Amino acid sequence: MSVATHDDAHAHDHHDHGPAKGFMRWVTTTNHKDIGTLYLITGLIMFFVGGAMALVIRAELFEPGLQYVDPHFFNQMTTLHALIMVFGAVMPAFAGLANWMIPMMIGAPDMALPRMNNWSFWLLPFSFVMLASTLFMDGGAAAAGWTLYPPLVLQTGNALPFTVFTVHMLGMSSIMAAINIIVTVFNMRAPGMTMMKLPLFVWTWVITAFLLIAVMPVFAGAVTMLLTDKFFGTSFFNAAGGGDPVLYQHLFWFFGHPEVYILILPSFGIISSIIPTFSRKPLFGYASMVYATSAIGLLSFIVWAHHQYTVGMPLAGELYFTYATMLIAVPTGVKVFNWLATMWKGAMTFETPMLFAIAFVVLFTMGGFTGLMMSISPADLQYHDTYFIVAHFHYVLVPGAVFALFAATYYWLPKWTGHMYDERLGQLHFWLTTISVNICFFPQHFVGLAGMPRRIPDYAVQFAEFNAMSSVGAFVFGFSQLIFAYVIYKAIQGGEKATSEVWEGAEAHGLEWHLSSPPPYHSWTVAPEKEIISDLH
Amino acid sequence: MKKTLQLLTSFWSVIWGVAYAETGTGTGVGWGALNLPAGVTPDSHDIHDLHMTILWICVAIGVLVYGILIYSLIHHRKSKGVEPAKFHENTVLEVVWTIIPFVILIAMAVPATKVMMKVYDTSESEMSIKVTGYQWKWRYEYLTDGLGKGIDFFSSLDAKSNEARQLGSKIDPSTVDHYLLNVDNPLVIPANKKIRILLTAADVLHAWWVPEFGWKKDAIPGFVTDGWIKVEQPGIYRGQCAELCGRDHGFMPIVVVVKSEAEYKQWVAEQLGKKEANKPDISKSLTLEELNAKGKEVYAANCAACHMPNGEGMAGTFPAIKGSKVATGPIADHVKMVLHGKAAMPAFKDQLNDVETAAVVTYQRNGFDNNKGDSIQPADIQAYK
Amino acid sequence: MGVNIMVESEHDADKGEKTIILRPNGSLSRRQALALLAFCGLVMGAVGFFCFLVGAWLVLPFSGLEWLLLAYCLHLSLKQSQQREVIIITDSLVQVEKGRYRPEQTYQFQRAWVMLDWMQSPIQGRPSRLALKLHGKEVEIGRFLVESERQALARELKVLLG
Repeated sequence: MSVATHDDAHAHDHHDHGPAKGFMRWVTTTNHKDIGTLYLITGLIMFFVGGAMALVIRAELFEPGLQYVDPHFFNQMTTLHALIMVFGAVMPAFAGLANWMIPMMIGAPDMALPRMNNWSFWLLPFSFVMLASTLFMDGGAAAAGWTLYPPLVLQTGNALPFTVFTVHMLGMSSIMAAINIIVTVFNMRAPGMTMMKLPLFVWTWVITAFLLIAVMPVFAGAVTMLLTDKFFGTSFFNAAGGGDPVLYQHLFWFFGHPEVYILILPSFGIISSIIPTFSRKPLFGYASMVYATSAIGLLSFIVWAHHQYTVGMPLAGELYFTYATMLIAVPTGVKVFNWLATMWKGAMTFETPMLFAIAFVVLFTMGGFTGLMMSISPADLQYHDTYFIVAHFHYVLVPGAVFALFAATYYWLPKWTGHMYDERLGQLHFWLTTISVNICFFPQHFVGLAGMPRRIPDYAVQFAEFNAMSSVGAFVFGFSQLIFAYVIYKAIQGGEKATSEVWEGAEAHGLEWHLSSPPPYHSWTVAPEKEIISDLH
Repeated sequence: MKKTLQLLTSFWSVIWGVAYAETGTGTGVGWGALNLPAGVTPDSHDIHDLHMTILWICVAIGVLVYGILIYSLIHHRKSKGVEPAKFHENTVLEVVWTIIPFVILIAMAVPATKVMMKVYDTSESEMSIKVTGYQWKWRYEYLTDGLGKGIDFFSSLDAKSNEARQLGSKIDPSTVDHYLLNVDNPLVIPANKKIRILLTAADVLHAWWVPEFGWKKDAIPGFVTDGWIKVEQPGIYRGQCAELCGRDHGFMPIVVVVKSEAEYKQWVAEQLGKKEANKPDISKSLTLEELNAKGKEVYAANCAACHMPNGEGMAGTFPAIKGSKVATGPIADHVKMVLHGKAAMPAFKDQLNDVETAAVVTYQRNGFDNNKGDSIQPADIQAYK
Repeated sequence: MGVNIMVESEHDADKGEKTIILRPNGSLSRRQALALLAFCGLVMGAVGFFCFLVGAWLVLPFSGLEWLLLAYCLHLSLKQSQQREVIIITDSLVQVEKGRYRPEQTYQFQRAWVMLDWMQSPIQGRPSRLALKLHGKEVEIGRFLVESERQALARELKVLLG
């Protein structure tokens, strides 16, 4: 009868979870941080791939006339650019942040279902290889826009089934990630971490995950029906066989509208973490932020047809979707006002994450304004399918979602790597990006209003000046992102050691700042003290 | 309120030098192309006013939000030595900024509803025109007795723009009149008549949009959508297809020539007369050379966009004519394919007359190294219709 | 369910028995999980049914499959948190029962001879390991506990067995 307490370096290999070595570490990993890193790197790579496609588009549009590419190839570029940026860059990047941060933020050692986590990531590289390979098939890649509207999409050559399978695989990946997040947040919270204590990033991701599982089956069903229409003689969307091409649009946007919120809600969470830290004040209106996010999530299900004001819906439908869509401005406004109130009477400093967060608030609000304008159905009869729309959704997605991702990367990079990033390069990246993104997208409001339709490879000469300007902005923006990649590389390689708190006073803003930088391989094997949790803002 | 808005609008126009109301095409030129055109129909004026109203409301909210933000950024920074406040909620404030936007929205919804009801009211129209979208041209059919019934034609990108827009054409688009916004046969309508536009499509989705008329609407295969216009001023108005419809989506413009009622009547008479005079003489027998020469023109105008000028098509999407089973197989199947179409191949029986059909079939069988040597006469086409 | 207490001790003075129950952290009760599933099923079912009504019946199988996956994942995670380890210490015996809902494995040690083995990981931040050992027979306990709880448990056992 004795108690032995000793250190033993050999006896516990069979249950200890240090990283395996080399390439296989990444293939077989079930660790939330490893998988988060994989997601983030994939997101960054696809951001450059999709960006290169955008530069093909902007090069062709630099001046009137066709200089570089065939219109059919141009259409493939617009289609793939969108699919890759949405499903390849922004969604994986958010999933990466969720994997890294959620267990750390809720006081859990890992995600609830680590093996499924591994599968949900490894589906991605295969689907993107498949999607890219469609470019080299007979007839080229899908060229009907990311919305894949029939009947046009049925004219795609051999690429159609591969594009649809890609969508299925990406959908499966997202669903598994979403389910994992839901189960983790509901079942793995540390004692004391009640739902209304969750950081907003976790809240926004939970709502995002619910949106994902609610709408993904609709998208999967819709694209499957495209396949059966093409190959098995069904007529879901074929008027000649008793179907309706507009039905596809309803299905697509029933998925697609929540999908655009899937791309923006986690950004709201990120911004709501960063602004309080650098304002040195608690977040204003935490509860109303949670309710506003939930309201936006709910509203996203009942507004889909505002993407279809021009398909000839009955008047009552047009008016209903107008009113419902306008309502979204209320909770969105609440969020912006809350951010302003958080900064108000704070003691702000302007490190790179804060700069991107402020730019997010300013420029996302711009996108919000044009969104409000487009919700008005009669006005949208003019705006629809013009560059005004292109400007709108790029304002919410680039200075919106992508800026939030930049901000999040700079904010948590010291936590992940244990090294501070190069602040001077970060600021340079910020200014170049913010200026060029406006040069790129602001003029598109004007050409859109003046009558330039979207998705055209060539345009009338009166649009030349603004398009040239836009292309210049796009190229500066594109190449500025190399700085971003370099800053990340440099921080991984080394640099000033980061403390566990990283940012002054950050400890009060989240559990992750109580872990070392970099954090242990398994996050909270030492449970966070209840006092820490109850002291969080 | 409305007066102030108009004042602000004209102020906006002055500072930016907006020229949209003055140019013939109305879409403005160069740096001046900044805003929605005020338009030439009642709908377009309403929509323009609505647009300006929302725009100014957004500007006002923007000034407030950005003003507060900028004030905060200047005064509430750590380098000023301020102590951060501790507050994190204020119920009154939160209720206020939920309710005020709600009220503003209702104020926006009321005019929006009114305008939408007007846009949707196609009743009491005086004439109707059916517009059909094809890959990649428009077809206009006049449906109203005495106001052009019987006129039916296709309208596609004019030859000059078409030449200049080819990849590597080396033609400077600025030397082409109304580059990409000009057609061979414009739609002609009378001024000051309420015209109902019925829209449909033959193959894929298209959308018919002339910005000066204030709206666009999708043309959907198998379905009919509609809208109305009543153009106040004679003139020429230009627009484009606004729904992605494939390779040449950017190259199927819309040109509408609006004439005074008298001139319109004259135009209708001319058209109907011409139609009678130009009725193809299908009884006449044509030589192989005549058919081939005519067929080459028809091919360039109707087939080359998909099957390519060299007849090699696009692998996977558009089959080649060169060496194809159809063009080298039985002539009956070939004619049926052209007349009735199949899947993505449109039916040409309404687009081509018998002479053109015979010519293009003959040309496809003899050109592109197919060298079949056979031909078909216009008189024989009717049997396959 | 006492989700906040991962280590429960009971002392029965009459029998001279001491019982320690270990359970992993689980912030979701079975009932809440069912409510969550029902809610998701309702929403997804409604969406699928609505699609079915407008002619897009192919959405339904996808909704169904996804709901099943969600149910399976919740089940797995809950199963994980249903794990129990019961350590019963009497005058002569130390008994460890492991299982879900009922003891599935039982280990018995002579109280007089059993050794408590508590190994720190050589790498900082990794979990330690706590085991009972006797004559080459070894059973790990409290693997699913977080570090501070394992520490407390180790201390308690040390006192009880020492």
